[in-house]
Amino acid sequence: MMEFDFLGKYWPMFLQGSELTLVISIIGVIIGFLIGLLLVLMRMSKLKVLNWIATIYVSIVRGTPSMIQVLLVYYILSKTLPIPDVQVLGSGLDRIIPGALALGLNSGAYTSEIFRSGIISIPAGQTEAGLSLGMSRRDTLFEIVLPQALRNTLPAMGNEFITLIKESSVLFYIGVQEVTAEALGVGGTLYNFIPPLIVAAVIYFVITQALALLLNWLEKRMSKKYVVSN
Amino acid sequence: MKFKLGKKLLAVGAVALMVAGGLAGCGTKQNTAYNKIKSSKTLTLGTSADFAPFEFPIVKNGKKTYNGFDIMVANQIAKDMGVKLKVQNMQFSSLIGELQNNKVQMVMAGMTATKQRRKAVDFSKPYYTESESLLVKKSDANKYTTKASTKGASFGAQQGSIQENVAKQQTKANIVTEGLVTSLTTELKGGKLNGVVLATKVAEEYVKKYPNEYAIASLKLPVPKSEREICIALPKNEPKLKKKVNQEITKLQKNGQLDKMFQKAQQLQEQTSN
Repeated sequence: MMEFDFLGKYWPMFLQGSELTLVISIIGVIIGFLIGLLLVLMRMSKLKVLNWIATIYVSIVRGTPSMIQVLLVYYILSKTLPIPDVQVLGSGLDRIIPGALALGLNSGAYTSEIFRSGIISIPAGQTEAGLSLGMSRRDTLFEIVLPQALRNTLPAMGNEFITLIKESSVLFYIGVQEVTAEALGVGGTLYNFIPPLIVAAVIYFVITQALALLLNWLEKRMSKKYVVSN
Repeated sequence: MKFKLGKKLLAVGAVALMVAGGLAGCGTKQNTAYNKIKSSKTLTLGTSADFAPFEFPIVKNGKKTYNGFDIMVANQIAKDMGVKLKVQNMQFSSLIGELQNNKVQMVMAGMTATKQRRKAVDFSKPYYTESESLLVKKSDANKYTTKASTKGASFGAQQGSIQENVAKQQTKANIVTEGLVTSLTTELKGGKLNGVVLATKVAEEYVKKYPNEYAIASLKLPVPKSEREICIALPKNEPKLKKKVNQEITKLQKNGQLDKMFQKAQQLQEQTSN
């Protein structure tokens, strides 16, 4: 019933789409990670204003659909920042950059909450111990709390990265030819929708599984250090 | 506490206003798109390439390109202007916004020049006249003959498309709208929808490709002429570009190239999807 003969002809489209999905996801994850870190520092800052800005940012991003965020970031950037439309993997940079940025801005809000939960999970006694040993607040945070918090947040972080990879399919709204877009195009030519979509689903699954394995490995490695020190 | 919340809301409102302001600031200069085409030596065409035979992706020598009736016409226009054609594929609903922001200078996506769209963008003269048909499962071929007979049925139509209006006005069915034609026809095949309102040419292609699955219902779907004519969407305030495009369409109509291109696109689609 299902036929996948079309892959013989259309595999270059799926390959290119997958590469682009990977690229935008990696950029998105990096931006999201950095923004998340920045936001959580802002939230822990003594300056109330920074705390507010971070809180409002997280509320807005969490409270609006990512598809709308992508469109807004894209249209605002296209008016304010001239990005050359150099073609990379079949899409213009003027679309890829705003798209990946929007994904990162979105992911940052969630990542910051994950960081925050990780930091809360470290008993206050550790901070107090650090401070009473004469370490500065900053050193206590970066040398004692954050390394442990990071390890605790890895499972949730993996979840967020996987969500981002899947979410990247909304970038077709701004014309980024990622793997979903390619599947839809092939479906439109064949007048048959399901087989290309199954191919796209398999591709997403392989990518996210590879990421999950990588994170598992990282988690084990990071916990090893703590087992030895025990 | 209340005071604090008020301030927060104010801040949220301010951000929203800034965003809206940034988007609303549109230029009104003449011929900006035309000049961009000339200076970059590229005509960027916006389309939604899941709509064979009008536009669809093909893989040629291991590389993806877009082809179809609209692409062929656009290529001819670009060639005549002495520039290269670049095809930008995206969701149908994003196309008008792209045009308004001068990200693309032309949109060809089997788009009809409705009143609503005319408020946002300009249109060329028509280069193709379509009619609408109801695609149904073969077993239902004779089920829908009059408007009254469609009561209680579920029909699909592409979101934001002319077929959506037609379906809503000319039938008594519940109308389901989705972004993609292919997703609607998949639902039709699976029995979730009783019919899909499509451009007749597209409906015929489905029947030709899957003669045992689909049929065209005899239900008539009359539409005013202005809503049947497929035009090229252009940005507003582009007299030079519009003139050029209209000249090209007239030329292609007169020398019979338009009809030939359509047949060629249909053949190409049949070859690539087998």
